[in-house]
Amino acid sequence: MYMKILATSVVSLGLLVGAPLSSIAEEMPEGTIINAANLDSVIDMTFEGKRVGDMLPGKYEWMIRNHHLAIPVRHSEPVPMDEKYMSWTQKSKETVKFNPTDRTATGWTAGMFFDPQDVKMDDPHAGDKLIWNLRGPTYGATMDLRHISWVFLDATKGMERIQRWWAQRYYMEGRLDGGPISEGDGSIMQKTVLVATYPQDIKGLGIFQIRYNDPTSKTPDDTWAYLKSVRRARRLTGSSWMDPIGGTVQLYDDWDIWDAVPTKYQSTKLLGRQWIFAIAHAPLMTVDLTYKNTIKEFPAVGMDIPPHFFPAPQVQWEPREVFVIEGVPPVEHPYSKKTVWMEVDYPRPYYGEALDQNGKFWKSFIFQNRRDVGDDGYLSTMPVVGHIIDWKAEFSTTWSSNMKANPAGVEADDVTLKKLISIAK
Amino acid sequence: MKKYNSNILKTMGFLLCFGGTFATSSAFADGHLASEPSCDTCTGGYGEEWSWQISGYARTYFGMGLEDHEETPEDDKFDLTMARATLLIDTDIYTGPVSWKIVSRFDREYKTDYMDSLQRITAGTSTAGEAGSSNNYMDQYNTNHLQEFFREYYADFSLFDGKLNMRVGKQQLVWGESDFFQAMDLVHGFDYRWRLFFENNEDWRKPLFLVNFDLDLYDELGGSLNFFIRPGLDRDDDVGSNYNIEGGRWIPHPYRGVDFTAFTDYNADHTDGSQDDPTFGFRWNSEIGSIGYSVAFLRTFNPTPMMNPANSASTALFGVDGTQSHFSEAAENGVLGDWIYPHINVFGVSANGYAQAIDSTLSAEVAFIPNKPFNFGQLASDLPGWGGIIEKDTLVTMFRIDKEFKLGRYIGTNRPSLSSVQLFDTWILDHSDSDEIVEFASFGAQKREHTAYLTVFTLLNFKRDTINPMFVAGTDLSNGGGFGIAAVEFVFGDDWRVKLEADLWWNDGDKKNTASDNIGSGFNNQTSGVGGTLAAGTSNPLGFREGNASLFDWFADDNQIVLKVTRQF
Repeated sequence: MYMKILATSVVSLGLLVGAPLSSIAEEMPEGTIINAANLDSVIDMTFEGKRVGDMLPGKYEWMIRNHHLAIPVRHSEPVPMDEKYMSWTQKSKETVKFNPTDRTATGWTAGMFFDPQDVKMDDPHAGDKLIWNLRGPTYGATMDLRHISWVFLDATKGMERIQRWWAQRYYMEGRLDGGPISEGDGSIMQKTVLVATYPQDIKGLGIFQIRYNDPTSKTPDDTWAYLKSVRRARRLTGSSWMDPIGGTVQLYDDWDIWDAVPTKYQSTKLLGRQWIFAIAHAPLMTVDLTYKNTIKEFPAVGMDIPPHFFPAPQVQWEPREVFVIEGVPPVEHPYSKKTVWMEVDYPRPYYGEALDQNGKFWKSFIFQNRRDVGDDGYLSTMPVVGHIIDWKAEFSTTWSSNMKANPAGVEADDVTLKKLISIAK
Repeated sequence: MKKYNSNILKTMGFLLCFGGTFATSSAFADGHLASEPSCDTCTGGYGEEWSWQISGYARTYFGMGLEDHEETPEDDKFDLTMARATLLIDTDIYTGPVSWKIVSRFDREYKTDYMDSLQRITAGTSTAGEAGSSNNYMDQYNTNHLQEFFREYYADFSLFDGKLNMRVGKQQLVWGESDFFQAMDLVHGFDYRWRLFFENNEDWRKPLFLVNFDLDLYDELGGSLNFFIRPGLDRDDDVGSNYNIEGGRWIPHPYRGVDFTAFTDYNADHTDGSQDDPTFGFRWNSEIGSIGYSVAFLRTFNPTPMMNPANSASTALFGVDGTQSHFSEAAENGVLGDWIYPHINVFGVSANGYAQAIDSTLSAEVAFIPNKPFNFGQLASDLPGWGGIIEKDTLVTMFRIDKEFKLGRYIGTNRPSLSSVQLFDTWILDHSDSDEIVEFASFGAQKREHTAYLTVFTLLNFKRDTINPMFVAGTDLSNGGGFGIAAVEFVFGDDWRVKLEADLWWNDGDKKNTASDNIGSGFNNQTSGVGGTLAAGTSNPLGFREGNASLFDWFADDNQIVLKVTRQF
């Protein structure tokens, strides 16, 4: 009897051990370029132990098979955040309170609002908490969108035109640049100036926006547009945060894929946690002005390869673990739903999708991110290229920037309506 | 020197006109005009520490009239009223703490058949005939002087750790909130001669040499103080607004081809309106909550030229009864008088804010102008308004509501359509019909106590702002009539822009006719030569006497199509 049990156990053990071994997939080598031609052969392979097909979220597979998206793969590498940012995140645990009744977060000073390690999948407010993290200063107290250009790219015809802009965002709260953590009277969360510098017909057209430090979002943004043609700043409506930037297919709300605080949306929901291929180590040079007004100016975008608006072959994708968060914007918003795939350890969006008002897939957002050391030594990871693709029109306005965190010498008075007017001359 | 400059500029214009737009298209196509360092540590985009940038455009304008004009013997329908070429060069230079701006513009027009016809009429009505002002007829539209070419040139710098920002040089300073009309935007005059009011303000505003200060007092008082002084270094031609009294294509009907400068003069040395006298202003900008507001005082020139009438045989010839009085000093022009821009003081308040309940932006502006000058009297003559200048306290009020309509899901616009409704009222306090105030000297309709304009516009954007229609309409609530503009701009890549525009007018039937039209009765029943002592049978260049036609009636025959082709660089 014992022998029978022993024999059965050995067989069972053999089955238990042997079955997984027989199904272990082949590891896809680093450097593989996932594309339409090889997708079927690699989709069930693994990379860093994860199935390749499982790391193709949302419309990735559709873009690979139907629109020539190619994904050169590299091994993942940890991206540590600045120590000050992480230590303030720990301090936030003692002070920050989430108020389920109005979805606000109060008591925040700096760092992340909520330690993502503490966010539970079954928490009905997990989505709100993670988006609150995203809407603090995530990559420095001051952002210089240096050399930023939107390139208008048609899937068939390629580059159509370029719009060059000058932009800075200045956070008044949560500043970790060595100066005061909070500036002003506490009423303002951040200020943004965005001014077109090229071509001539939009040169001098810009906006200045104040987003107030009101967790309820009941205080609308104050936004002014400066129109050089009339040399006058004109007040815009408080709903302009959901308008497109210039003639691009990107909304102001698509800044960083998701720019609105949770309470501007009707609801948010944490859908899950997964590993995806994402761009966390973009090239160091994303705007090369030696090749100004040619496609070589934008080396991180494959403008010479149809459909002209995906990341360039030199850009490598790596496995990143992300939260998948879905949001329902207000009814007047152009989107009926937006989904973001965002790093689990810190709020860095890699990919997003938006549905139109009829619930149909409309846009995808591929953001290239990389490390940056601010002029004050602040360690951050930030987006440097954003591929905003309108799939209805098969058209993209892809921005590229030599983004800089905490640029030296920029103060609160440098990001004002007055500054907008002085630049927009 | 002026003649020398003029010849150079004319030669440049010849090269430019109609060919310039295309000639420049390849020259700048590589976009290598800007000297910008290729680094990833410099601030980029604007204002490198030491750098310069040039941009601009070459543009041609073609205007085609849709109606015949009584003044000309030909049928003008579908004739070109404008064929214009412009080269604009926008230069930014950054030299450490000081940045420089130079905006230069060169305009040249081809004399179309219509303009040739007006010139021939001008030769007939000018006292000097062909040798008179008509000889340089197109000068009114062309760049003829270096100060016209260099429209703006100024330096920007800061003092006291950025507290005081200064802009010194020839520039445009815009105050106020109103669209289309000016309440507080009175620092500068406008040149309405070549395109009336259809262009962007910056294109027809007349820049002035100013020392412009902006003192940041946000830390101390929660606002900023903008103040300027115009020291009086400008040319006489640079102050006040121009209304095409040269008899060109935008002088009101029935004066096409009647060159008033042949028998009147601009006088910028008048004791109450001398260009040499400094003008200045102060404006406090601040916020109360999220309501932005400004309070301002401005000493400037009355934007509309006022007729300081002569008392002469010529005025008598046109029925002026000799009771006219001059304004402070006698007119230098002894034929009909001087056009002057008297100084005025303006006290203004503006405010703007966002009304969340209606998702709209509200703006308001009030300007009080004590003793604002108006022409008056002599309404029964050929020269209404020639009685002199009367001063009246005047209150100008604007209220506007802006709203963005999200039309994308209905008509496919790619972004919300900015739409606006504005009410603009000019209220003459202590108005009396017996004052016989007129809107503009030479038109007999009395100006009412209130002159109110209602304007609306909406901007549409399709295909990522590459097809941009716009619709504008305005009406004179006090006198009737109005205008409408329907335009569409096409964007082709970085370089080319094409805009097609229909400028349309409607009126209530009032009209001042030319003397060659023997129509009307009563007050209008004026056959040639009965105006005053004008000899019988002599054609009266000032047309029939009429006392009802108001602003939009003056342009009732000016429906037209305009095409603009722009090559940017």
